[in-house]
Amino acid sequence: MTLSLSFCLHLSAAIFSIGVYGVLTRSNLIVILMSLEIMLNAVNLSLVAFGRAFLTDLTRDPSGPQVFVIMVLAVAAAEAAVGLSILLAVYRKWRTTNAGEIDLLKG
Amino acid sequence: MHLLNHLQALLTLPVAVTAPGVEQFRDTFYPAIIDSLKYFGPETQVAVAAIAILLLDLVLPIQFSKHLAWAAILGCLAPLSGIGHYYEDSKSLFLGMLVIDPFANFFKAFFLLGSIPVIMLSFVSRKLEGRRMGEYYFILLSSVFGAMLMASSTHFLTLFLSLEILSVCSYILVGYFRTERKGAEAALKYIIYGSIAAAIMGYGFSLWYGMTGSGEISSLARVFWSPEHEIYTERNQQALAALTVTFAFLFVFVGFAYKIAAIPMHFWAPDVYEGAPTVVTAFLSVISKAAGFAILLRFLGGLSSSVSGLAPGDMAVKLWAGVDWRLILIVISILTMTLGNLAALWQTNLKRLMAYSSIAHAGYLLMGLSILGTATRYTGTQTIAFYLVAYLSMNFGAFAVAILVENRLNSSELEDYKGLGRRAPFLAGALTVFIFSLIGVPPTAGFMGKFHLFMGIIDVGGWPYYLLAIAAAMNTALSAYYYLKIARVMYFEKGSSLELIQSSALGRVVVVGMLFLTFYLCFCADSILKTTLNLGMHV
Repeated sequence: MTLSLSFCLHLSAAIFSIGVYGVLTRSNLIVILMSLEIMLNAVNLSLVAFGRAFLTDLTRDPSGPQVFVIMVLAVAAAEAAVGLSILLAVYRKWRTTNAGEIDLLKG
Repeated sequence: MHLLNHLQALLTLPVAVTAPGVEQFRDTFYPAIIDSLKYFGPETQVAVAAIAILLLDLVLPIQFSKHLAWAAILGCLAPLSGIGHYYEDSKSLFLGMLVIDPFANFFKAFFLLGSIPVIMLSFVSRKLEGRRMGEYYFILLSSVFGAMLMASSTHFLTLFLSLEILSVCSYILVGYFRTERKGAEAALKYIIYGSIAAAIMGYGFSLWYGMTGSGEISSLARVFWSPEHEIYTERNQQALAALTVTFAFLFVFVGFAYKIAAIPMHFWAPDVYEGAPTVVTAFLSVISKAAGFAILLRFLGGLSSSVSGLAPGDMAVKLWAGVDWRLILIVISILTMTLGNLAALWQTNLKRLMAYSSIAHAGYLLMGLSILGTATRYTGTQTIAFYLVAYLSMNFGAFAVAILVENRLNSSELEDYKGLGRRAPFLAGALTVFIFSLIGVPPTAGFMGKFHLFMGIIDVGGWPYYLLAIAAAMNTALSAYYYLKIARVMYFEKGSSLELIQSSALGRVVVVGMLFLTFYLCFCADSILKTTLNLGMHV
């Protein structure tokens, strides 16, 4: 049994929407960072799906999206590393991970 | 290979026949990559300088650490010779990943030269004193490296990666004073908004890849022109394909809009600009924004006439349902400048005010983008490149004054600028000049920059462009109110103290340099305009 391209794309869109929903509605900063990772994973899923679809199409080069997936993973790792260390710095100063309470800058 | 074949058999997938063999790699790819390396010299030099600074800092005693600034300046100057040597070359590098052309070279030189005032201001900034500076200059040069790559990328892989190199480095720079509440909060907001933008842009790239089967910038243009792409021709799916491409375009645009702080991704700017170290704010507002515009020019330039073989001036650039993408840009431009200027009216902190002003200037610069690919006397690339140089002079000047004042007063609240006209006549006078330049009053760089932007859109004609011109003119008048408020506070309001404000010699050198550039760009605009006119892109 093989999964169809459209199924993978719908799944990816759904996962992406879940990520966006999480970023917009959650107030815990760690959950927000997790939702961002979910969004990036949805991107990866859709790229992998396209890459596999191109395997059956001899006019396209399937390696492109697959290489891009690896790069997205690397970027996601870098962002997570920087994001978590910034979060740690924030927690040390504010003693909270609630986005609503960190509100010194506004106006 | 055996394992791969086996796995593909399990997954009932056919083996890709197009996979390049060893011979092809040896005969075609390898020589091309080796040949590209010599054009990659400037970027390599910046990277080597950055790593050398990081290593030097390990062996230097801490009191010499701040003098790494000179090494960083050297690292910005050295690549210029390579850029000058290959300035006129127009060539695709690394199998279509990067490109070298006058456009990329101009922006690389812009980023390198623009980083020098940033480094000098970091040197004089009192807040950064007594720290180990190796990491700071390492990250600063890394972000310049990312910006240089942004100017020359032509494939979505390099677009995404270079944008992220600059972004991740900027997150660290913004949060450099991690023990300060404001700094940490600003960095946190920056990285969350930045990651959202990156994820949306990545999703756009994946759709783009799926629709076109190729990651080169020009491939998107091909689908725009002929939606009847081979795969999607069955049963009249052109409309769906065009809709998907439109979404891909908008998603990717969100990522770039975040970099230039335009609507709809502008929320971060005020908070980040206020919370970041002032030097970093200056860097973000000029270099990072210029890098965003370089990448946007390359991206949208790929959609316009030269690539697709469309006649210059042809407005038939259509998205789904026949929407011209320039119309979208006009709407975004009007909204961005209006929002920036309106919100700036109530600001009481100079850095926050400059943040909204930089949003407004992103709106003005978008005017230049909206005339891309039209046949007028002024091309979009020319007006934007010129305005960016003018913006560099006035914005760095204003931030240099802000840093020198902050060194003494430890504040950037407008309240503390009262009576600055007496306490620091030179700084106050210089800031006034930069303010007039930001408004766009002659004889300053800002006037010439805005003049050419206006001439560009009026030349194109048509009601959307006239509407844009009217909106921009009204915004310029609106912006005069809050810019002049700064001058009023400095000269006509009495402060609590009359003590003179001393400033360091190097800081004054930066201010004088920016003053010179501000006037030079007005009186000798032609020489720069001639340079910016010939910023050809490799096709």
